[in-house]
Amino acid sequence: MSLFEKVINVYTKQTSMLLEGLWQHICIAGISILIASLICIPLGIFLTRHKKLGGIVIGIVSVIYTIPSLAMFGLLLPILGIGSKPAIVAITMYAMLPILRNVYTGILGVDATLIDAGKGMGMTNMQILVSVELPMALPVIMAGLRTATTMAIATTTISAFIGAGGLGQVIYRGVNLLRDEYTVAGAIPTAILALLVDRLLLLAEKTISKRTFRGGSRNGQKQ
Amino acid sequence: MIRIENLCKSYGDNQVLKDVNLHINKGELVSLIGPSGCGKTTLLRCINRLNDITEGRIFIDDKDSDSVNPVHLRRGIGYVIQQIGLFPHMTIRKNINIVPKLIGMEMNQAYTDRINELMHLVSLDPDIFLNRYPAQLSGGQQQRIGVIRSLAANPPILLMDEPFSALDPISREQLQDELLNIQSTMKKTIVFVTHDMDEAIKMSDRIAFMYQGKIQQLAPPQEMLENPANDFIRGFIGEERRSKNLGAAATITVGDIAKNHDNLIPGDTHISELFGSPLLEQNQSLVVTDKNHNLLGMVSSDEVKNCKDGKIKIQQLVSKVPHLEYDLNIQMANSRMNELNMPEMPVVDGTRALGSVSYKTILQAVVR
Ligand SMILES: Nc1ncnc2c1ncn2[C@@H]1O[C@H](COP(=O)(O)OP(=O)(O)OP(=O)(O)O)[C@@H](O)[C@H]1O
Ligand SMILES: [Mg+2]
Repeated sequence: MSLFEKVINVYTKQTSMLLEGLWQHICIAGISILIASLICIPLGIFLTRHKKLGGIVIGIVSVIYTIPSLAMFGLLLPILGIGSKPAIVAITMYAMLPILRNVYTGILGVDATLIDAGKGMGMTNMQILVSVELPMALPVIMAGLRTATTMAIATTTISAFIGAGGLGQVIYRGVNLLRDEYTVAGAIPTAILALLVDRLLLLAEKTISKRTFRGGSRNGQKQ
Repeated sequence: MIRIENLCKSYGDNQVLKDVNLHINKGELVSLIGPSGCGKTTLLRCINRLNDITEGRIFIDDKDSDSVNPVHLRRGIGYVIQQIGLFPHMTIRKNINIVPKLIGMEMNQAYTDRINELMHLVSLDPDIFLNRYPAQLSGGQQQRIGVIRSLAANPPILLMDEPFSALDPISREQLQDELLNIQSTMKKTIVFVTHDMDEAIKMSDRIAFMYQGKIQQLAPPQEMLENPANDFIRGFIGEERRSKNLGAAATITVGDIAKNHDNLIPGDTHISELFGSPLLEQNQSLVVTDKNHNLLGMVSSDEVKNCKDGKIKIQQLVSKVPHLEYDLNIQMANSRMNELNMPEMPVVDGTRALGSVSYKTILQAVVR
């Protein structure tokens, strides 16, 4: 049997294992991004109002981002054990930087004239945030989310190493048992998933960006 | 309406406004003029409290603006920001509707009609432009929308920071006229920042000349032209403009002006016949005559409007006032009006009434 036939074999005979891996993969990455967004979007907004703190917090989050994933898992294992829990915690921590940084810089990058105009018309700070700053910063925030999501999907693959499950597990099985067909069978959907999600988010980002700066770039398109 | 007392404003060590005092009456248009960086924008932004005040006080409608919630204060003051500042992610319609929505104004037919009318006044077809985005408009068109946006909620006070700077001379002229029209019919109080002396002369009831953070001279345009308070102002105005304007003032007669403002009304006209006439709508004064076109006197639009009984003839409302001879030049007329403290006077040829002149019509004639 050629490798190609063997791979097809894995797909037809072990469909449920692969589907389960795919689902776990999506869950781990998805939950991590969700948690990271829930923390970082409000935090990012808060920090734009307290810029001195902003530099410090983003500094700390950047340091976390530079910890290699294997080292991170090693640090978390004694505390959280193995499984998907430490994986979600680790990926959430990695996802914080791109999201937080882009919320922060996105909002601070909004043309000060517009905020001024809003204030001058008698908008409250909340109204300015909701109807001026966030919509104007949305393309940048979306770009951060996209970076974070792509990263999360990739890191989830590695987290199979600590027993988190997902498509990475299929790949590891191939590596451990020296059965290339498993490695390939796991790698293909991982790549497709990463590409697909990236494309989708890119599309969303472009649509939003176009909507924000409709009809041209005359007004404050600085990104 | 707006009372600025001993206002000082500093950025760090840099004192930008130094002891500014300025009282602006209701319905008055005061221009702030002066070289770049003299503090015009800063002063304007102190009025709606976009800038904190370092020292001094500002009263709006006799209320210390410091004691009012700034958000509420700003909703009652139209503001045209120097950089235009339309929101790029909103249509023109949404941009215009911002303040009316904030104050919970009813978006009824009357409102829509008014916005459409404003759009027509600035020569932008509402059917086309209201649904566009700011980036799809030229700079001048955006600026006109900025002006409409400040008028949408119909605020009694307007702060306008070089609102016509991006316009070509023709649309500029046209918008100046429209703004004057809006101001006189709706009795708006306007603080108008400009770089352009001709614009200030044409638009203002009074001009505040600013230099290095101080108001150097506060005077009606004609007076500033005649007697610039110092050499800097004299230089800023320029000899050419001074002599042109003053020269014009010496050659134009009040008769010339009165002829162009047809506000003669026969004395036996019933009040009811006047309702809805353009003269009343523009708040013009009426010059009342008898059958032989002789002057009987003047009646203000408000007097007519306040008169409940439509059957009264207008001659019954007339008050007798001093008049000007048609061949008087407008410079003389101006000082005579100052003397008598009358902002508007009838003009006659012998006993025959020709019309009237006011500070405003005189100025418009001078600038033209
Ligand atoms: N936020 C700020 N911080 C520090 N200095 C400021 C600030 N805003 C304005 N200034 C300074 O205050 C002075 C007055 O500025 P302002 O904007 O009021 O001038 P202006 O008369 O409106 O000028 P222009 O005609 O160019 O618009 C300038 O010297 C300017 O540098
Ligand atoms: Mg300015």
